[in-house]
Amino acid sequence: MPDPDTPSLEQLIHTQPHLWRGRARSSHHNAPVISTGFAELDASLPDGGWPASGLMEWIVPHWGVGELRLLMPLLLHLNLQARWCAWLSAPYTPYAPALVSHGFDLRYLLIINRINSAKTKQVDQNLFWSMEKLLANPACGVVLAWPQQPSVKHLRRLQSVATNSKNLVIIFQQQALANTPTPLRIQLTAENNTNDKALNIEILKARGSLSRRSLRLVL
Amino acid sequence: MATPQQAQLALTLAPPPSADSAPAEPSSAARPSTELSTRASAQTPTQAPTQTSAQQLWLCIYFPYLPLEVVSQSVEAQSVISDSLPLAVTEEIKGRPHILIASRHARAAGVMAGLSTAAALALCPELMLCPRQISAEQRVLSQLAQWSYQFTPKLSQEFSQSLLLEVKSSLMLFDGLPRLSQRIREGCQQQGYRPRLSVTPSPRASWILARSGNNIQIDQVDGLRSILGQLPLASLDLAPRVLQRLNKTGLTSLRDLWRLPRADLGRRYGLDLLKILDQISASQTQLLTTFEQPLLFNAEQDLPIAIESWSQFWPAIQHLLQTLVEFLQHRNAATDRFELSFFHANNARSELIIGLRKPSQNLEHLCLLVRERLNHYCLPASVIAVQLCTDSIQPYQAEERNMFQPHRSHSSHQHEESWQNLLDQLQARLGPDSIQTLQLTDDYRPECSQDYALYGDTESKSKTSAQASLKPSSKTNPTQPRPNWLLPQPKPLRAADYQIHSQSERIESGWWDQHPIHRDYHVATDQNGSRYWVFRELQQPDRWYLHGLFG
Repeated sequence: MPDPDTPSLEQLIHTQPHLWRGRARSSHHNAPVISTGFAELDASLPDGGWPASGLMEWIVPHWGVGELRLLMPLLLHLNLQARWCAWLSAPYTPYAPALVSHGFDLRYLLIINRINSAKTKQVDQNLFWSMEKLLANPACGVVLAWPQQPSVKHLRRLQSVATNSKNLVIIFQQQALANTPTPLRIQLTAENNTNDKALNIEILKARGSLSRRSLRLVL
Repeated sequence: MATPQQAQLALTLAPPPSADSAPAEPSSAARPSTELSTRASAQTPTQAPTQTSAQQLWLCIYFPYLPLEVVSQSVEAQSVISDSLPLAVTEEIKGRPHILIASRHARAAGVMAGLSTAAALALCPELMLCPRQISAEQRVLSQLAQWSYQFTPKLSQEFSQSLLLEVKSSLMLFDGLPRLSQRIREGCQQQGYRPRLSVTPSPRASWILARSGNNIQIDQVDGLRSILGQLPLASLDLAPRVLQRLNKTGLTSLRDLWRLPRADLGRRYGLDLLKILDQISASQTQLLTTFEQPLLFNAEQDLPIAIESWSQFWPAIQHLLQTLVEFLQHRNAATDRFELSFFHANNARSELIIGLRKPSQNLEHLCLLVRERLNHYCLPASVIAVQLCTDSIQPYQAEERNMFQPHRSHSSHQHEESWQNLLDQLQARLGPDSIQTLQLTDDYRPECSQDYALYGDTESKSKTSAQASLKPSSKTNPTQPRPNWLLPQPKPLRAADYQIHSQSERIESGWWDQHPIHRDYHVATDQNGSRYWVFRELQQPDRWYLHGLFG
């Protein structure tokens, strides 16, 4: 005779956000999401879109495959909410005419580039400090950062700050770190020497889903 | 500057019946003193009939120990400590140094004002002698005057070692004279200066009373003369020769002078004496040079010893910042840029300029910014004094709130404010040119079609607003694809590694200035799948350059 006060496993799965069924899509888990703007990608992500808060890790071995185009619907969504979009130590300069042609509002663009210090370690410290400060501010919508050498410790802190302040932070990297605490990690590649603007997205890790998926999007 | 409004003192000394009805008539106060003196000389002072309370009340803050306090600040951090040191300030009289004022310890040893330094040293061998620092005293007085500006707008530094405040109009606000005096006294003591306060309807009388060691408050004109009468003539600011002559005549107190007929006094000792007498008894208005607020702020603080780490003298900086904020708040102003200088014993001074993106008068915010800067600032040597100055003072704009949607607009304002504060903080730590935004400029050339604006840089905003905009025009929004990433400089590349895809887009522009371009742009890809924006010069078709990435 089970104790009526003890919840059943079924109840627990429905009440506890940290429990989910391995194979099934977590239907009850209503974390707020932002649509990626691509139905196929939405369907492949466990929550049905980008998480509205927390840390994302985008692994882009070669810049210029279409990472910003994939990001653009998210940026436009935050534009509508009049929230700022901060770019920290980006590899190149975002090109304003191209951003505007996508519909991006330049009023909410903030570029932090010259993070001045001689020592690399200091640069990264300043970078992560700035990211944390930006994330903690409600006026900020998303922090995009291209750090040199993020450590697991840094990423864990960012994840915690971003979750607490309900902000989104995306880390762009060319090489994947092993065993990062990131809830959502995707890798973006493109096929060689074609001009079809296709982007291969591989979902390396997503909280709420065990399977690795990959899909091909034409942007 | 003296204005006619300031010259409204009641003519209470036996005014003619016509003047009685309108005692505050400015024209009567502005008459030449000779006329006044002859008119007043016809009557005796005891006949003064009116019991009107004074139109003005002058509070004199006299700093008897100012020379000592100023000097002891450079000797010791606190003037309180100076009492335990045998310290004396000297001044040259006829080319020979004499004691001007001595600390309590030195006075206990018998050192008095007026002694020659040799005599003083004989009495107290361990006496420390410092020459008087008049310019430093003036600076301190100006600082105190700025501080006193919170009590009244009418403020004068006319008399030496003192400040004169017209407080009649401020009494209501500050709960009456006793509380106001208390507040002023405590404020001065907190800043390390011991004041002596006297209040009378006449500025000169207040000063004389305070200088001769009295803390007296008189708000009626007719009580004034009986109090003043006991004062010795030496306490008047008379020329030494006149004073000597009066003393030789056997006149010692002010009462003695008042008993004499005015006309004769004037004839014998000069009209200046009569003028002073009239000013003292508030029968003649004295036009004072009002203290004018300079539109720049400058304050400095000496440190007791040379200190290497800023965290140890942070209270001094904090005090300076607080002075700045008070200065700003009294003027309803804000600052968007200030300079912090550190003085070193042997090195040249080092400066730290702190810029804000929006004028602020918030102490917490300023403290936060300065701390942030100092955290990453390396002091070249140990510091002996800190100075804070700014000349960038602007009217303060309080935040606007929506009356009809108070909650919504309040929160969005808070967001805006916290965002601005955050950017200030980032800028303070990362450097003045670290934060940028992008603007479009009307130009076909890719490298010229956007403009980096330092965020919040109003100058660059206004400069480029004619050309730059946030909305695309035909030039900045072409039909051909544009890359999301742009390289700061076009980079030469090997064409063999790339596959050129699109038809060329020719961009020829800029013939009117130094950087004309003649280029054919293409979209190219490489084996990694990245898409590039490449071009070749029309003059050199075999040389290719990389200019952007279709991120």
